[in-house]
Formats: sequence, C-alpha cells, structure tokens
Amino acid sequence: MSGNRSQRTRRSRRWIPAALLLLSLAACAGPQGKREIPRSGDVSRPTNLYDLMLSVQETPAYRETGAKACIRQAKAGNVLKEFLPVIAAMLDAPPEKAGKTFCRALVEAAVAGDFSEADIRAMYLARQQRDFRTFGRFLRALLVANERLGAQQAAATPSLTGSAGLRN
Amino acid sequence: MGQRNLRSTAVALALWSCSITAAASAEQIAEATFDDKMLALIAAVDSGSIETGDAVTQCVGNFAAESKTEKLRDVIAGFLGVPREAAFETGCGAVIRLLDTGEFSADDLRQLIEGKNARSKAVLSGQLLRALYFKHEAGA
Repeated sequence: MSGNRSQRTRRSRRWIPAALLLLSLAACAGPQGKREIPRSGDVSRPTNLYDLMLSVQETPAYRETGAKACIRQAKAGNVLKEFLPVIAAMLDAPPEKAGKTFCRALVEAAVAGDFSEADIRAMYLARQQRDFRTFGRFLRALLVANERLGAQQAAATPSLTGSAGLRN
Repeated sequence: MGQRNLRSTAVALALWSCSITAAASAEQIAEATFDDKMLALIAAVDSGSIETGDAVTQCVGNFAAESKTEKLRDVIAGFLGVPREAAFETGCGAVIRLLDTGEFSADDLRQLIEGKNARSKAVLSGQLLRALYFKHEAGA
C-alpha cells in the first residue's frame, strides 16, 4: 500500500510542474500591491513590459524603438527568462530568435489592439486578482499578432517565380 | 527596464510558483489518480481502443473532477476564446483530435506529463499550445 502511495506521489510530482508550467507563466504579471503601471516616460527604457506595451499603443511611431528595447532586455536575459522557451515554441521560433520573435509579436499585439489597453492593465493586475483568463488572452494575442507579422513578411518577399523575369 | 523591478518580478515569479506547488501538495494522492487516468486515456487514444467522443468525455470528466484545474480552465478559455464553461470540452476535443490525426504524438504528450527535462517540457508546452490554437481555429 505504502509503495503504491509513494509511486503515486512521485508520479504526481512529475505531473504538477508539467500541468502548472502554463500557469506559472502568468507570474509575469505585475507585483502585488501596486494598482497603477509605473511609467518611465521613455520608450527606450520602459519600466516593464506593461509600460512598453502602453507606450507603443499610445504612440505607434515608437514601435521600432519599443521592439528594440524589448529585444535588448530579452538578450540580456531579463524578459520572462525560463518561460521564453514556451512562448518561442508557441510562436514557432527557433531558440536563437526567441526574444526577437516574442518582442515583435508583443509590440504588434499592442499596436494593432489584439491586446487592448484594458487588457494590458488587467494583465498587470492579473496575479493579485487571480485572473488567469486575461493571461490566456495574452498568449492568444501574441500568437495572432505573430501570425499576422509572418503573413505580412511573406507577402512583402518577392517570389522567385514571380514576374521578375526568372521564369525566362 | 529597471533592475529593481526585474528583481522583484523574478522574486514574485519564484514565490508564486512555490505557492502553487505547495497548495498542490495537499492533494497529491488525488492528483496521482488524475495522472494515472490521463496517461491511460492517452494510451487508449493512441491504440485506437476508444472512440473519439468517448475520449473527449473522459478527458473532460478527468479535468472537471480536479479542483486545481480551475485556473487552467480560465487560461484555456482565454487562449481559445471560448466561455469558461466550454473550456475543457473545447481543449480536450482539440487535444484528442491532435492525437487522432498524429499532429501531436502520444509520446510527446506523455513526455509533457512524465518528462524530467524542464526545457524539453517547456518547448513541448509551447508546441502543444500552438497546435491547440490552430486545431481549434480549424474546427471552429
């Protein structure tokens, strides 16, 4: 009996991190106790990802600057750290492009409104309000935005069999 | 982004992960049963010994019987854009169809549950999310 129980407990311990890995991702929500997103006023030096998303949403012209700031932090290992592989795999990005892909999708989602201002503020408060649904919407918004960017890139790339003369 | 803010985010992340695990440990025995049921279901779908509809029903039943999966219900509802009441049925339906069509292998799903390499499981989690999204969108 105790052997079975021990075996079950061990198996349970294997399941817990697997099933809750997704939930742990939601820990990127803001710190407890603060209701307002701290703003730096400088998109090239945002206080956090929420500040960054709000800045590019308010001023889409900051899109490139914001993306670069995010990529810089991702390269330094300051963005989502161990959870970036989950998001990179979800976005079908190779590991070496994980940060870049995530940041471009993040900025696109904010600028295009896949993730609204209300969503960004809700995401910031998600942890203290146990709002996991907003986190699910955030993942969805990233995926949708990334697919749109991929389609735009594909459309902008000239086809080798197009009218450029290579057929002749 | 400020170092202090990043440090507090990292601490919050670690604390939160620990609190989830601690809360889960109180129900480890019940969860082991859930674990066994899910692995058996994956094996049954993989061997073709269960009808798709029955597999979805069983999968939904397994999740619904677990109180801790309520958070996961919310994540799935938000991710797939469905009401939370329909989250398990939608998610289970997509997973079973992925297994049926071989778009996501039973071995990968088992690895996600039983694997010991955190990085491999992180990648598999991301791949499963992606596959779930597209399967759901294709069937919606």
